[in-house]
Amino acid sequence: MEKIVLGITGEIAGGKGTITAYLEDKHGASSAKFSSALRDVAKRMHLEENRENLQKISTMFRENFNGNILSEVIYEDVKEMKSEIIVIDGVRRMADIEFLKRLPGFRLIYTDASMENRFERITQRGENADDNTKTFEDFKKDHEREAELQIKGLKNEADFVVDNNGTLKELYDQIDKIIKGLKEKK
Amino acid sequence: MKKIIGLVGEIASGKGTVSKYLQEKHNAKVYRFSDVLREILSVLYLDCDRKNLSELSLCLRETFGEDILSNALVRKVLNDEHDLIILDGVRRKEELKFFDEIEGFQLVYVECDIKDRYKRIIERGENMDDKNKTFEDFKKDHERDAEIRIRELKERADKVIDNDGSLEELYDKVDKILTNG
Repeated sequence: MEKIVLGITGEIAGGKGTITAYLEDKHGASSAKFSSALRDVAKRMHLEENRENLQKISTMFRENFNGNILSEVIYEDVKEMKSEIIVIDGVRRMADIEFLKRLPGFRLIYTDASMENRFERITQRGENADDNTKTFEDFKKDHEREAELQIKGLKNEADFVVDNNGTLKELYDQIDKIIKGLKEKK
Repeated sequence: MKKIIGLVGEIASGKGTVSKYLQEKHNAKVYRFSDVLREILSVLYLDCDRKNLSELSLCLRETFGEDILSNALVRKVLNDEHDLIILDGVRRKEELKFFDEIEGFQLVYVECDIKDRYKRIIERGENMDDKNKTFEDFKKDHERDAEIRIRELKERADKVIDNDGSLEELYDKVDKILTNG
């Protein structure tokens, strides 16, 4: 049976993690995260798991080993997974997508939310050590980084765009509809 | 008092043999600087060959500073309850930065003739690219910056062990270092 492999993308705090968690909890999906290899490395090296260090690790691997290394890691991880639905959280670059498209059953979902809504969410969750103390100005500046600029462009590549400016329920309904459609197609 | 011994020596000089002996006969806990590198390479689905190991070590140090590996290891070691701890494969003086300050730390340099070492490296094939190496290749490896730095550490060593004799002789020398402190 062909798997459903969903890449989730969107700007910082756009709801990628929420969608991933929902797919895991309600649809029995397994997840593969681009950042999990990076967090793993940070942990082993006793480096603080903040956005800056994770990006440094990512750049370091891409420059010294190969530009697609993180996609390759995800590709291998996904191939080993047995679930019917697999979520890949944190797809950030066009090159990642080119690579992941080789996975049979791959679809890209872009989650869209306003800057204000996303700022409110990021300060609440504090996933990274440096998130809690961020000002709105800092947050806006984060968006000028090359990594973030590329993400916006991925909206055009997405098979599905979900709007995450509303309630959680509204977000979940959009996801349920996507899954239903994909299952019917199989 | 907890004893920590750093083992340094050129490729296939007998560091592994010494650390295995200390582990089996003296209940030592062995750490290698390369352990964490090997773990990272396997997370990335990359081969654990000498080239990738040194590439990874280099880019980690360039990105996060020369002390990064020493810092990661010293934390593990300080949390370890064993009375005797071995750091197998010290390669650079920067790796010793935090260890030098720990009371009970000793650096031991293991020395052995290049021909014997070549024989061993071919026999054991620990790294994927070792098996097909010629003696000329092996000699060339010694001109690398990393290998030169290893030889430089001999001067800093608290003890030098000569491993040109039998295993038994080697073990005796190791025992002496432990009893004489």
